[in-house]
Amino acid sequence: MKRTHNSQWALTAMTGEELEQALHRELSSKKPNWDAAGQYLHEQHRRVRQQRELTPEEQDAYREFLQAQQQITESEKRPLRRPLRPLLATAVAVCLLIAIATVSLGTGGVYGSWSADYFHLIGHPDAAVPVPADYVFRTERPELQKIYALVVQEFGEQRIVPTWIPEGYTQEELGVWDLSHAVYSFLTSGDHRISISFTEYREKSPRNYSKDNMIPFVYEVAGVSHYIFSNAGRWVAVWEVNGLECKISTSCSKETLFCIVDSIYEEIE
Amino acid sequence: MKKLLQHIAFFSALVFILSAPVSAIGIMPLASSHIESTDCHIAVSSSNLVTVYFSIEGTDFMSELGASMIRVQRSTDGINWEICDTYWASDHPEMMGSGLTFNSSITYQGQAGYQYRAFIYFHAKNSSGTRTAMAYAY
Repeated sequence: MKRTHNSQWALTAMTGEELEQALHRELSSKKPNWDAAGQYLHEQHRRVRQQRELTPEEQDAYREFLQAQQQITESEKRPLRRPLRPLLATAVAVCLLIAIATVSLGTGGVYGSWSADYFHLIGHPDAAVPVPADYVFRTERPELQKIYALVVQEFGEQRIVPTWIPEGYTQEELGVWDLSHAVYSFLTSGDHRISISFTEYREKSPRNYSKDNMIPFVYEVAGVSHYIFSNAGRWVAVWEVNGLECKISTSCSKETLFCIVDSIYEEIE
Repeated sequence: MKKLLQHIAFFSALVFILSAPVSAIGIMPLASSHIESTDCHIAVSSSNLVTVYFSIEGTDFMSELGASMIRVQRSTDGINWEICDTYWASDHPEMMGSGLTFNSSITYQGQAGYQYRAFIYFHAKNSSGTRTAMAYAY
C-alpha cells in the first residue's frame, strides 16, 4: 500500500480496529481503490473530528494527507497516457515511411511510381548521362551486337545494351516497332527467355509494367538508377537514360539480371 | 482507453489510405501473369488526324494479344471529355494479334481546337486464361 508520511496522522486518528478494516478492505481487492481508501479515511476523520477538536498541526497534516492521496491517484492514472506519445510518434513515422516508399528518388532525379500491380517511370533525369568519349561496344555475343546495331540506327550511340547474357540463349526475335519507335529483342533458352527493349520515354504516357506485390528497389550502377521488381516469375529492370526508357526482363535469377545490367557499364581494358 | 482506441483507429485508417495504389491517371490494376508491359501514345497530325499507337508484351506466347477496345475522346479544356468513337477488335482485326509482343495503331479524323486522348483496353489470352489491362494514351 502506497503511503505518504502524512498518512501517519490518519492512522493515529483512527482506532486500530477501524484502520485494520480500511486496509483489509482495499488490500484484499485485486485492484485497490485508493480513492475509496482516501474517502474512507476522510469519513473516519470526519467522525473523529466530531469527537474532538484537531490541533492546527493535525489539520495541516490532514490537508497534506488528502493532497498526497490525490497525487497518488493521479500518478496511477498517468501511466495509462504515457505510452500514447511514443505510440503516436511511431504511428506517424510509419505513415511517413509508407508515403515515402510509394515514390522513390534515384540518382539524377529519376522517379518510379508503382501500385500493387503496376510500375512506371515518372519524370526524367535532370542531367543527361553522357556516353564516354572512349566508349566502344564490345561483346562476344552476335545476338547482342545485332541489338546494338539497331539501337545506334534508331537512337544513335547509347550505352544501354548489355554486353553479356548467360550461355545457351539464341535470338528468337529482333526488330523495331516503327509505330512506337522502339527496339526490341527476345532471346530464349528452352523455357527461359530474356526480353530487351528500348523506347522513347514519354512523360504523359509512360510505359506500364506489370509487377508482383513487392516494392521495387533501386540498383545503381555507374550513376544510373535501375528499378528492379518481379512479375510472374520474371525479374525486371527498368531505367531511363538520355530520354530512352530501357527494360530487361529475364526468367533467370535476380543475380543473373544484375550481371546483365552490370555488363552494360563494364570497362573493357 | 477510449481515446487510445480512437487514435489507433485513426492512424490505421491513415496507414490504409497512404498504402493505396499510386498510379497515373486511368490505370487500373488487373494484369500480371500474362501481360509484361503495355505502351500507348497519341499523335495528332497537322490535318488533325489522330493516330493511337499501342503495343503490348506478354510474359509468354499468347494466342490473343492486343487491344480489345479503344475509345477515342476529345476535350476543349482538358477536364471535360466526350467520346468521339469506339473501336472494337471484332470490327478491326488489326487491333489483335498473337505471339510474345504485338503493336498496332488506329486512326481517327479529328477536328481543330480539340485535344485528344484514348482509353485502351488491352487483352492477353493463352491456354491458362485471360488477363486485361487498361491505360490512357495522351
